[in-house]
Amino acid sequence: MAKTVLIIDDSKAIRDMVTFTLEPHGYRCVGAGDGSEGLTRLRAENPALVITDLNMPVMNGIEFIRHARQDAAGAGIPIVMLTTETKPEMKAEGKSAGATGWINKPFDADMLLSVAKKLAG
Amino acid sequence: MDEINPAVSAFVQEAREILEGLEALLLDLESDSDAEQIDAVFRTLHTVKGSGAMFGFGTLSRFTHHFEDAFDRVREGRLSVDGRLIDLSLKARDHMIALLDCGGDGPGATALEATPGAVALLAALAEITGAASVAPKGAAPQATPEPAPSRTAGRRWTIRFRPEPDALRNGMRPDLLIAELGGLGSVEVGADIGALPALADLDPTLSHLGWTVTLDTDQPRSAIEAVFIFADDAELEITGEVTEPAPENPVRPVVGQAQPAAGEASRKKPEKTGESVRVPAGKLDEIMDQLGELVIAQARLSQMASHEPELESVVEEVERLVTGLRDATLSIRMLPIEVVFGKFRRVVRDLSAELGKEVTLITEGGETEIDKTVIDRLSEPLVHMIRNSMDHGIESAGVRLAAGKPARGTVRQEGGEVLIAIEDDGAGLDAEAIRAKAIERGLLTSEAQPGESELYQLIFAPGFSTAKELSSVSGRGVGMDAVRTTVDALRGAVEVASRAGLGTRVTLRLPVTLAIIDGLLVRLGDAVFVIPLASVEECVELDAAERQRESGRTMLCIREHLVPFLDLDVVFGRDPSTETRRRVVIVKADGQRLGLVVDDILGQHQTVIKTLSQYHRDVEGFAGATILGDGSVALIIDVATLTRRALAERAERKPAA
Amino acid sequence: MTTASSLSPAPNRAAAPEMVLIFRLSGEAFAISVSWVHEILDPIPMTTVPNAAAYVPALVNVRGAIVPLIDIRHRLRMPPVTPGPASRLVVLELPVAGVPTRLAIMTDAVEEVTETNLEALELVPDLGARWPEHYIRGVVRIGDDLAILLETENLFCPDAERPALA
Repeated sequence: MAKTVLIIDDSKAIRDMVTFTLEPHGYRCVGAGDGSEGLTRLRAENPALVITDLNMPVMNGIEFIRHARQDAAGAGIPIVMLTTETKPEMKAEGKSAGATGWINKPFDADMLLSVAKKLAG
Repeated sequence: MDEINPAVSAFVQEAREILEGLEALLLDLESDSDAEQIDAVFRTLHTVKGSGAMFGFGTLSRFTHHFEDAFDRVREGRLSVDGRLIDLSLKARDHMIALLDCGGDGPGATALEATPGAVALLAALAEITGAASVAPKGAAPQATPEPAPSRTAGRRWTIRFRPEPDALRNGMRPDLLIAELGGLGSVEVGADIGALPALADLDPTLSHLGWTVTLDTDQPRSAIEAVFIFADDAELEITGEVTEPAPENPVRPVVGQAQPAAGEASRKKPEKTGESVRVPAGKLDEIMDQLGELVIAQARLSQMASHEPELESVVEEVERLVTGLRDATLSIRMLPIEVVFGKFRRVVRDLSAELGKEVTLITEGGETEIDKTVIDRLSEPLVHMIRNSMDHGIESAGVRLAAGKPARGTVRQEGGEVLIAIEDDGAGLDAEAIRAKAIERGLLTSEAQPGESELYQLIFAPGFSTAKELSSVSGRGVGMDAVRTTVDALRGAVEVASRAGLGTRVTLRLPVTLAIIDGLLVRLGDAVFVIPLASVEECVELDAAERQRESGRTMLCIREHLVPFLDLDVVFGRDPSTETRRRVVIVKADGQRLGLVVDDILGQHQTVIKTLSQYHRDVEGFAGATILGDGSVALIIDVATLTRRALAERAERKPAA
Repeated sequence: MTTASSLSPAPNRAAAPEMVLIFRLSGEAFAISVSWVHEILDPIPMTTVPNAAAYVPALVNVRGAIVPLIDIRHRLRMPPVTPGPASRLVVLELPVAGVPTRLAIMTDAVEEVTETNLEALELVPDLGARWPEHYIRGVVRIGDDLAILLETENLFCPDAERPALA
């Protein structure tokens, strides 16, 4: 059965790009436009990996991660943040909220694939 | 690049929206530069810079980097927000749009960067950011710095790895990490179960294990470290055999303090991106067509059911639902005209600077909604009208006593029409100059004595311009006739009013082009016509309204107001009606009330307007046709043109009185 | 829909046989290319368009579409008649001034669809005085009869597009 990857980003362009990069490698990709929608999808899809942007309307990435970790549905699922800032404190905050790792934007296909493989196999 | 083509077009669309919003942000910043605004601009640039690099718009990304640098300095307080910075920023933004239009990296983008304008722009940005050179700073930083993979001779490494207890909860997969190590060479794995608690105390969500992995590989140390980039708070020891310096402890303590992301929560995101759906215009047209058919079918159903009492309540319900659906669907295509006003701000600002006139723009009624296609076609003409107003209407600062008298753009809705007026309080139109020019251009004979409004209409004739000097903007006489052409195509009208020394006002009247309207059915003899309900004020019996003569013309006196009227029998070339109890439908258009005399009023009806074919398009007085419940075709009366005609007739008659 | 190439009068062309619809106006037989014919109906109620040009006086509802009625009798300078029991409305679909257009004409009777060879096309001889030439492609022989083949491009051309005509 294909592994599901949930990509949460308010930019459709980013969501499309992730989908087109990962799908040919056997991942099934689903998307959400903000943290709140992300939580809904998380509970519905039980993905093998979540990739989330940080700056989003309605509910941002850090909030999403916190909620996800408090929810049974999110226990143990690798969550990767997409960070545009390279400031260490953003990564730290994400980590303390419960993120598993991060990818810096801009990222390319190889980067994305290697992280997916590392965290979801 | 072809693989991610759909993603690229999504990026372009998003970037365009972002850049449109950026223009508004910059203009806002000029009047109100608080930290939040500055931050918003910075973040916008940061986003475009990042995404650009990802989707093949490296040139755009690199240019944006310079722009972003400037605003970074502003954020830090090292650069202040002044007119010059905003000027530069607006130009930079325009340049970014141009780069976006190039479609990505390639000869087009490269050529664009090489143009004198672009070079000057980059130089100006460099100057204010104090950048030593404008050489691009290279591609955006990679996520993981990758040192040159140097293959060492095969070595044996010992890796001791013990995750933090709650690492599993946070998604760490030690099994995958070890598998990754396995991908680097050959491994032997041993688990350290020393810390494993008794079964009764075992919490399976915690990590109680450690591992020792022996790895034979010719990959460099950095490759091994790369496996553990996300495990930096775990216990990790990588020891290489043979001439390996004291094993570094790669546990990287996290630097700095986690700061609450207050900025994020309070960030104002333009409402569009989060809460709306993009729909191709073609789809919307399809839905509208279907809806039109549905309305017609429902009308027939209502007609047929009027003889079947059992069906009555269901049919009424259907009618209610269809009306609801109709209204909802129609409103999808309607946008507030504010959208166009946004463009005005930029135009006014740029022109203010260029012409040396300080002008404030006041807008009213921006929330009035108009069909999107109408807005699209209006943009250019309205912008041109504003330019004209600023260029010629408003006097230069030297002439005006008070600086900064406003130009005004207002929108009003009246009955079945939308009125868009551009008004200034400048010098007013020079009637004499217009006359002279018109005669010179052969548009007027020297003896003709046109009325004031007619004279002013001449400014819309092609090639007409009384500007003494050509500015870059107007004076070429091309623009105003384009305004007239567009307005005609939209079946509207344009009026000009002016007072010397007081100002000028140009008003566009446009029919609210809805495809489905509520209509009033009226009968003339055995023919049925439809009058758009939005234009109808009231209906009275003809007998109740006395006829009175006023300046040689018969008017109706309705509750002590005089109203001109048209006998539709006459207007439509029919035999005069012999009916005794006729009705008058009072309509309002062009700001004028007019009575339309008909034989009978049959009721209201929801009608779908079908445009007339080229054979009947020019027939005066009809806005379209529709199919009634009984299947017959009824013509829809164009109230505005009838009104204008009636007024024209009145005007003609006056001298003869 | 066929293209305009079939409209060009080319009596000398070695041509494929063309299918035409034969109908009558006041006893005269007329022919029109069948490729333009959309459907044939019994007469239905029409709505007069006030102040319309004389050759296109009304509108009809054909299956929910509002279709202009072209009075070809007017164009052919024939006096008007009231429709009889055999009258039929012929709905055509063809390019008019470049735009695909649906329109209707009223006929006294519709007779048949038949094949006619363009080679047999004879230019209108002494009939030239009777019918406006620009509406006629020529004459075709149908059995013993002669039918007048109509030039649709001119016949249905809107007034606005026409150069000044007699």
